Amino acid sequence: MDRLPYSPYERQWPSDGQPTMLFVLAGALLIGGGLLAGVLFKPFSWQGNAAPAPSRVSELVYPATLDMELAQPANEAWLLPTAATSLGGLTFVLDTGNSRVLGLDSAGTPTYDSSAAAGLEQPMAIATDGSRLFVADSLAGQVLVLDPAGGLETTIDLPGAPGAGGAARPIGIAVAPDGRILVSDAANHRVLILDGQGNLLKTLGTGTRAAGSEGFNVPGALTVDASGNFYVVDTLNGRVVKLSPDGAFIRDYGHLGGTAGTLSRPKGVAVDASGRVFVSDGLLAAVEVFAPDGTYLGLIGRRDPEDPLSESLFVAPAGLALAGDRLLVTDRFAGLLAFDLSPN
Amino acid sequence: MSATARVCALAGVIALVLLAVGVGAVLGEEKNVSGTKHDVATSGSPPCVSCHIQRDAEGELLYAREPNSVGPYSGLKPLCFSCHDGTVAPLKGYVFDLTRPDHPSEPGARGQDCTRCHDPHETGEGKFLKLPGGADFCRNCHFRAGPTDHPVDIDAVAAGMAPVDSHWDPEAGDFSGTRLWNAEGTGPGSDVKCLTCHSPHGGQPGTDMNTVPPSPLDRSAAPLCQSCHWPGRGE
Repeated sequence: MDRLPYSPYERQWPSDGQPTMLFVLAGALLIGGGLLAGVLFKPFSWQGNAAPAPSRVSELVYPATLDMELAQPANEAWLLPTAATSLGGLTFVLDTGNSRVLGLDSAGTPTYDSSAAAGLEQPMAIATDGSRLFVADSLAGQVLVLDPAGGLETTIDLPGAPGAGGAARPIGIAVAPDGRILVSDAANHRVLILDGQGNLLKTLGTGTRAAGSEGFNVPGALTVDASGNFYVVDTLNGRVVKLSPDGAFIRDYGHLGGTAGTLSRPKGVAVDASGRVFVSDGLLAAVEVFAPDGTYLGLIGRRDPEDPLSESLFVAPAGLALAGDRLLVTDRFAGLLAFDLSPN
Repeated sequence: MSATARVCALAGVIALVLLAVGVGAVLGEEKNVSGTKHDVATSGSPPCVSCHIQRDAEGELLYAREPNSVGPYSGLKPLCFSCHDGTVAPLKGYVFDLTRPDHPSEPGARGQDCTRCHDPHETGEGKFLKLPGGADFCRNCHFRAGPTDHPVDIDAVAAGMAPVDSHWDPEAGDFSGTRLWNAEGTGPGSDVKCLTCHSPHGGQPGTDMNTVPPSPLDRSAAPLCQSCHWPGRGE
C-alpha cells in the first residue's frame, strides 16, 4: 500500500502553533501595562464602582409542595417524555422517545400503551377535551384523536403552509371549551384553529419568524383558560402570548432573559382557574408563575425553595398540566413530578 | 515622554489591537451564524441573542451560570437540547438519548462538550463540525495518539469483505448497522471508515459506540466483526 496512512485528516488544531505565542506575549504585555497604569494612576475606586451583587435569597418563591417524583413508570421505561394529561383516572404520558402514549394508574403502573392503536413518529403534545385524547405527531404533521378506551378514533392531516417545504410540524395542542382544536405549527410559526372535525377555521401568525403582536418564533405548547382565551408558548421570543378566543393579541408574559420574571426557553404552559400563568423553562430548569396582569409571582422547582440558585428539582422541564391544585410537570429526563399548590 | 507614559501608550495600543481582534472575531461569528440553520432570530434581529441570552442588568438571577451543574446532562447540553428537543428542531439520531453511549465528553469543561466536535457557528464542514473528515472525522483526534487498531479507507467490496449484516442499508440515514462510505466519507460507497463500525451518537448500549449490538452470550463485539469477517469467507 503506497497510500499515505493518515492524510488528509491529520492536521493541527486551529489554535496550535505560533500565533498562540504571539497572543501570550501580547496578553502578558497588556496585563503588565494595565497593572502598572492602575498602580500609578489609580483611575477609579474599585469598591465604589462595583455593581451590587444580585440577591441570592428570593422573596418570590411560589408556594408549592412536591408530592410526587416518578423517574420511570413501574415495569416500563419511557424516553424523553414531553407532556402528560389526566383523563378517566389515568395519567397519559407522551413517551416521545418511544413514539407512544402510556396510560399510568395512580400507582404509576402503565395500564395502557397506544402502540397497538396508533403509529406515531415523534409525538410532541397531548391534550384532552375531557373524554378523548388529542396527540400532535410532529414529524407526521398529524393530530390523532384517541377515544376513551385508547383506540384511534380519527386522524387529522394538518394543512401545510403555502409553498414548497411548508409541511406542518405540530408541537403544541389544546382543545377549547367550545370544541375547537388549537395546534401550533413550529415549522411555519403559525397557530392553527380547527373545528372539532379538523377543518381549518383560522391561521394565526405571519408564517415566518415574528414577534410583538404580529406572530411567533416557534410557537410551542398551548393551553386554554376557563374563558376560552388561548396561551401560546412563543419559544424563541422567550414569552407566553395570551390571545382572545378569536385569536386577537391580548398581552404577553415574560421576555427573553435569565433573571426572575424572564424566560430563556419556555416549554410548557398551564393556567389555573384564577388566571395565573405557569410556564416551565427548559434552560432555567424552573416553573415560573405570573399573575393574570403579568406580574411575576415566583418560581417553583428548587431543592431549597428559598434560594433560586440552589439545585433544581428538574433537569429539563417541559409539559405542564393543572388539575385543581395539582401541577403536573413532565421533565424530559427526570420523568413526572407533581406539586400541591393548595395553601397550607 | 517619560518611561511610564511610554509603557502606558504601548499597553493602550496593544489593548486597542486586541479589542479590534475581539470585535472582529465577534462580528465574524455573527456573520457565520446569519443565514445558517442556527440563525433563528426574527428578521432584522442579531442572531447572537437566541443562544447568548442577555440578562437584565438588574433582577434576581435564576442561575449563576447554567442549570444542571453536574451529570451527563450538564455543561452546554441543556443549551443545545433547549432547541434540539423536538421543538425548534426535531429529535434526531439518538443525540440526547442517555440510554445510548455518546462520544465521551466532559460537560461543563470548555470545548469538551457538544463543542468537542461541533461549533454552533458555521464552519463550512457540514453538520456544524469543527474540522473536515466525513466518516473519518474521528481521525482528527484519534490519530494524534497513534494509529487505530483497525485499518480504514480500505475498499471492502474489492477485498471481498462487504458487510453482510441484516441492518445494512446503504441509502438509509439510520444510525444502526455497519455502513460503507465513498472515499470522501460523505455518502454511500465501498470503503471502510470509522463510521462503518462506530456511531458518535446512538451507538449500541454496552459497546464502544458500535453500530451492531454485542453478542448476547459473551457481550463481545463478535457480531460486529463477523458482519465482514464471517467464517468461511477466507479471513
